[in-house]
Amino acid sequence: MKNKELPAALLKELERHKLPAGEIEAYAECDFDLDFDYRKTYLFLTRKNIIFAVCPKSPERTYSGFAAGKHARFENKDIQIEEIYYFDLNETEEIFTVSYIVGGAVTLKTKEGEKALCICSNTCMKKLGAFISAFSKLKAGEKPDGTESAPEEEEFCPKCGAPYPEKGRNVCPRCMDKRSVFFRIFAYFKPYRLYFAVVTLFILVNAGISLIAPYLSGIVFFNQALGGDKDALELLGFKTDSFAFFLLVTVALILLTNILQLLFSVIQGRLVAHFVPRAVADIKNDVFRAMQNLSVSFFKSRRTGGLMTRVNDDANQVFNFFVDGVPYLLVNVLKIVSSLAVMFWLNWQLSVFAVVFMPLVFMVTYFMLPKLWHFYGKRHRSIRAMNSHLNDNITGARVVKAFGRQENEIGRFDKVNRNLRESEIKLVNFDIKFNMLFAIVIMLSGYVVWIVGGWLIIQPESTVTYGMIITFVGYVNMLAGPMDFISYIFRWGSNSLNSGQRIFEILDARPEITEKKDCVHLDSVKGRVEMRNVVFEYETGKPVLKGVSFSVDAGQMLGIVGKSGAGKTTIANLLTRMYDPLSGEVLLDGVNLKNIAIADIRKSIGIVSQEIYIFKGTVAENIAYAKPGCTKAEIVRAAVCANAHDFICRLTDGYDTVIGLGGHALSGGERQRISIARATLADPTVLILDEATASVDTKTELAINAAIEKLSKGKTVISIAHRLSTLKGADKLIVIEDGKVSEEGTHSELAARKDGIYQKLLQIQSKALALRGIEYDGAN
Amino acid sequence: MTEQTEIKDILKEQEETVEAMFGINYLTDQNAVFRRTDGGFVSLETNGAFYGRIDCYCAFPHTAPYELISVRDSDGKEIGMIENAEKLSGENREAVKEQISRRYFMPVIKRIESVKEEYGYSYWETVTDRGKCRFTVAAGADSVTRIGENRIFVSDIDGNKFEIEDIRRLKPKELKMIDVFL
Repeated sequence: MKNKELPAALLKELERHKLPAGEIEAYAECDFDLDFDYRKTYLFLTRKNIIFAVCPKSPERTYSGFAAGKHARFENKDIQIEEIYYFDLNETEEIFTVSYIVGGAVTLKTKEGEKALCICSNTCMKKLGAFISAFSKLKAGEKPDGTESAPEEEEFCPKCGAPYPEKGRNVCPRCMDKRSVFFRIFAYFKPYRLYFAVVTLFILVNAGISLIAPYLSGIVFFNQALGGDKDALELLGFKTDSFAFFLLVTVALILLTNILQLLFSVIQGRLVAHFVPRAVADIKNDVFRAMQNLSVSFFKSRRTGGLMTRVNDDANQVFNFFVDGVPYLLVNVLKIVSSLAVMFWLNWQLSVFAVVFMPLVFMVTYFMLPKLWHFYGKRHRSIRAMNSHLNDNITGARVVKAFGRQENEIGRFDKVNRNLRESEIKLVNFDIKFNMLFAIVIMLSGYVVWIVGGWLIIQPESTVTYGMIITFVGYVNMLAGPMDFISYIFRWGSNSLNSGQRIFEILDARPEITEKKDCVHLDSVKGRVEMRNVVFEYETGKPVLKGVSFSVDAGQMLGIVGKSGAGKTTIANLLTRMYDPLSGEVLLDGVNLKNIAIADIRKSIGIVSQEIYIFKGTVAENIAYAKPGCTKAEIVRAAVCANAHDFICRLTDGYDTVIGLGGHALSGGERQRISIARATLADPTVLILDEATASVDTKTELAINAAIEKLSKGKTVISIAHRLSTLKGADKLIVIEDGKVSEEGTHSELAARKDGIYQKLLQIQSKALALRGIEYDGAN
Repeated sequence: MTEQTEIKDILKEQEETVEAMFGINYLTDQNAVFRRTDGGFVSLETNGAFYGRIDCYCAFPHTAPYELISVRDSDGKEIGMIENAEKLSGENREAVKEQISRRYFMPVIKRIESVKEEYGYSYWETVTDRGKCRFTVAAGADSVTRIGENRIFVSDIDGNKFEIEDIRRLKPKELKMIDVFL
């Protein structure tokens, strides 16, 4: 281990104790002593010793996530080694952890027995694992090379140190490039820019009108119309002295502004309803298209589950922000600035008092709104809990009745229901509190205006009038909205941009399986399949296939046998090029799959697997899935071959029966036969059967096997099975064990091999069945 | 070996497994000696067999931590059960109870100083029976679990667990801080 890999403080401490830092091959840090008190301890591995260094007890512990970024001040950087113990490497047989509910005890095994050194929490476990493998390597005479630990997954933002909110998705909402996301989302409005511009215009006009309203109802109405202001009359160019007329005009104007405001917001609302759903639909289409092109591995990675279901919410969230957020941000900033300007222009002393409480409005929202959202979230969770409880109860109705537990169920429901009630009450209480506080702050500002304004009016030579106070109160009320808005828009925006970012991640994901530009088009495939030394892993560092080689000649049948988890289905995945091998080659007719046009692979290699995809549609549509545009006669012929024709005809709607989600329910065997019919229709040269009959009863299995036999005539067949009976017709069998081909040969060759895995499997399956009086037909 | 005897062997093996599955071997003061080892573990001598290090798994860690303890060898295979650890005598009781408390150890939160939330995580500053603890909890319902009415387990982002023994003993201010998780 290079010195620079050790933290500086630790290195310094090692020097102080004259410990050979240069000889350290690996180290690990633990955090508890054997009494479960916080105490840093270190394990160092050299070629001679395991060095165990103990620091003094610590009164505190900061776990990961906290000791980062803005919390960095908590990170305890001083290391002070107090005691050092040496354990001879030659005498140490093993080092391991005795695991507890959380973490475990680090234990050393020597001739004398096992000795616990210290306790470590989960936080320290990862590094300890690497330390232990480095130790085993050293014991085995190899040199630890730093590959003992799986490449550390980045969990914390390198910039601010906060943990990433979603595992496996290295995006820090605080530090992400918000601007680029913003403009990229904005681009989705491009086709609708006219709408967007008009809507923004309406919003601005409306804001302008609302700005006039307080002036009209205050100064114009009270001071000029009611107060008989002749200058105002002249200024407006009215040729009459009638203040009654002036009054009428003023009222009419106030009415007009209200009507205009209403009208504009209606038009604006309709325009928004017109183009936002379209923009949302556009982006969803894009996401779906991107998803179809992505490789299977993308869907397998753990982050996708959440990602996919959230696409919908994300798209809505983003666009709502752009329609309800962005334009109003502009409006509200304008409103604040312009009303402040008008107020200060009218009377600066009164303005100062009017706005003195405004920051309070901001604060109330800023601090209370997130809490309000929490309560909403809580209610949402309660509702969900209740729904799932109801669902559970209804699906389990038979069990409930069978055990006579209705009363008990009622009690359980009451508990869930009570929870929901409590969260409703809490939400409403908080909502009321929030609104009340908000109203009080606004009212306070209003009262201040009344008091200070009134006091100013009664001062001699005052320019303040009653109308002005009305105007001021109007403006104060008008300021509250924008203040409120601005206090939460940033959080809202940040969430929305994060949603946008998630959408773009799918759009930007590059498919791992791509077609080469100069790929080969195979016109006629003979069907020879070969794997050469294939290595594959789903997760780095955990190889599933460790150098698999085999071949099947055209028209032959290969059986693949092995325990579950041995890598059989992975072979099927590679043969159909759902994944590419890490190293080695998969060949079809001697050509690497990577060099063949993907469409040709799909056409010539078919798969019937345990996983059956029946989409919502008629039986005929489901069968014709692989060959759009085929004739009805072809569909029926395929169904006949698949042993499915009979049951399909007995359905009331025949081939027009709608199946799939919400449609007619098919049994497992029936679904399987439909998928075989599909494969028959596609007529591939190479057929892969992945546990096609694993989950059906014996009678159905026979029917399916008969169908498969018909289908496989003249084809290369690779059949993966758990039950050996399925493989009785195989020309060759391979046994996969632990990611490798451990046995290869014909049935009789393998059955004759003493202590062979196949032979054992055969024994177990035939004997176990024989014991139960079931005739076994797998052994020919 | 003839076919007949082979089948008999298989049958016998199955019977044995079935028996082992359904029989419970209770460990008592009469048939078991638990001893603390120098290495910091507990050993067991029972029915002539000696186990250098045993583990105690609670069948009901939350509701009855000392009842029905599954005693397992270092490979995790069950040796037997203890009906009630409290009813063992002397060294036996102490050794088993200690082993349980080690396996199920988690710091107990005595005071909550602050809980701040930001971008999907909440940052807790607490005082536990082991000293001051600062840890990070992922947002979502799974991080804070309620055991019974008033007991709470909090898991941080690494899976470390902390316990609040009784939320009724928290101050109103503290309760308010964690209210959103309850």
